Amino acid sequence: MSQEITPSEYSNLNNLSTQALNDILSADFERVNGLSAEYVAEILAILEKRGELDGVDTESALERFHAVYVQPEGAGQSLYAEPAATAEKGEKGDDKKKTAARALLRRAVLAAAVIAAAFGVMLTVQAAGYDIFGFIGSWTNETFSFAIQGEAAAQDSEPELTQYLPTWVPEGFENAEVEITEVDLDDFRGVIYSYTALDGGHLIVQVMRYSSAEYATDTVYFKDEVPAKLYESNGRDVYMFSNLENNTAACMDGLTEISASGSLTFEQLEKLFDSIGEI
Amino acid sequence: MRRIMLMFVLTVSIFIGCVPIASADYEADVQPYSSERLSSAIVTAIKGSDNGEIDFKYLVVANSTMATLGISKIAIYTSAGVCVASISGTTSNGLLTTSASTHSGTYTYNGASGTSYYAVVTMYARDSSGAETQQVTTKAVTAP
Repeated sequence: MSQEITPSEYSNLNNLSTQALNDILSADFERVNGLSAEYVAEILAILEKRGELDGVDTESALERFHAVYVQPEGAGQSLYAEPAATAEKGEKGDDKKKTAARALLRRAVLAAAVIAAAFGVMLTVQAAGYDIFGFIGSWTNETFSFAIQGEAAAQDSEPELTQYLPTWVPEGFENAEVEITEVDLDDFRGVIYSYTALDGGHLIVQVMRYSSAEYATDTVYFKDEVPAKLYESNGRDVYMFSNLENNTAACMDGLTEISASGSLTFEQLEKLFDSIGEI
Repeated sequence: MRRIMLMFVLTVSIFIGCVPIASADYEADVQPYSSERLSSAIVTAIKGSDNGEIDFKYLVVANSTMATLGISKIAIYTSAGVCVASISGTTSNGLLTTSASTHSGTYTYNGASGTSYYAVVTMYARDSSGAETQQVTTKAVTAP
């Protein structure tokens, strides 16, 4: 986090030695975010006040400038004046170059480590079979389905499908008649809970497991012309859309598809999906 | 200059002439998918285990319990668009069921090995207030 210097803090600069102030100016170039113009001006003003800028040998300074700074492309040259003689300066310049090179190397190593770690995690996760690329909702005025986003892993771990059942259902469905259907067609299997409330309300909760991402894209939900909207629940992207008098919410978790559809409001569907929790 | 103007007028005329045709085609093909009775469906074509076999697997989910639910017709086409079979759904052949909110199954078609097939599947749902159908077209799959 960059530290902001306020005008009141400038007064503290007076307490620093001239050498310290010069060091601050010299070290400026190594900073990611350089000193502010105001801050530098304040240091220069203090140095001027102390007479450190008086009596400067302008001729030798110009000579030094040509000898040190006016180099082709300025490659490898310091941009800051050094207090000591030229030979010593060369040595210090090398130190500065080494410091800058070390800082650059440290950053490069850090970046490489981060990239390697990220790829390592991706490969490990892929090796474990988790779908790290996922699916994205795709809809028209008439249907909704999931499309593969990027590359989808062929398999992920085999979760127990009942883990995806909600622990909350709206009032009226708590004691509703429930018809449970198990589907197993090899390439996709699932469990479907059909609730029928006493007041005639209905709710279908469906958890499907696909053997491949390709089959997940074959599922079609019927919807009306109102665009689907996205809701995030427990790290999952849940798509919600209406189908005339019914509302549907659906999401993918790896190769498992969870959906709930019925005479529920979107708020109730959100609460229902929130109750599923993380698997 | 006159030639450019003529080309411009011709291009605009062709474009304007095509718009009504395109709209007419679009309207003819549009199916009102929003459904009063059906919630979702999976219909997929998969290579069968034996030579020439294609499995059409389906799952139809209704919004509530239907008096009749399932597949009322499977029309099978070659990838060239030639209809090679049409199967009507009945409760006897298992494509339709009664008093259910879901129905699933597999229909196996015996075709020619190496030929690519797809199906236009008509889903059917009927309750006390009426009936409706929806169509889904599968991907084409080459028979083993």
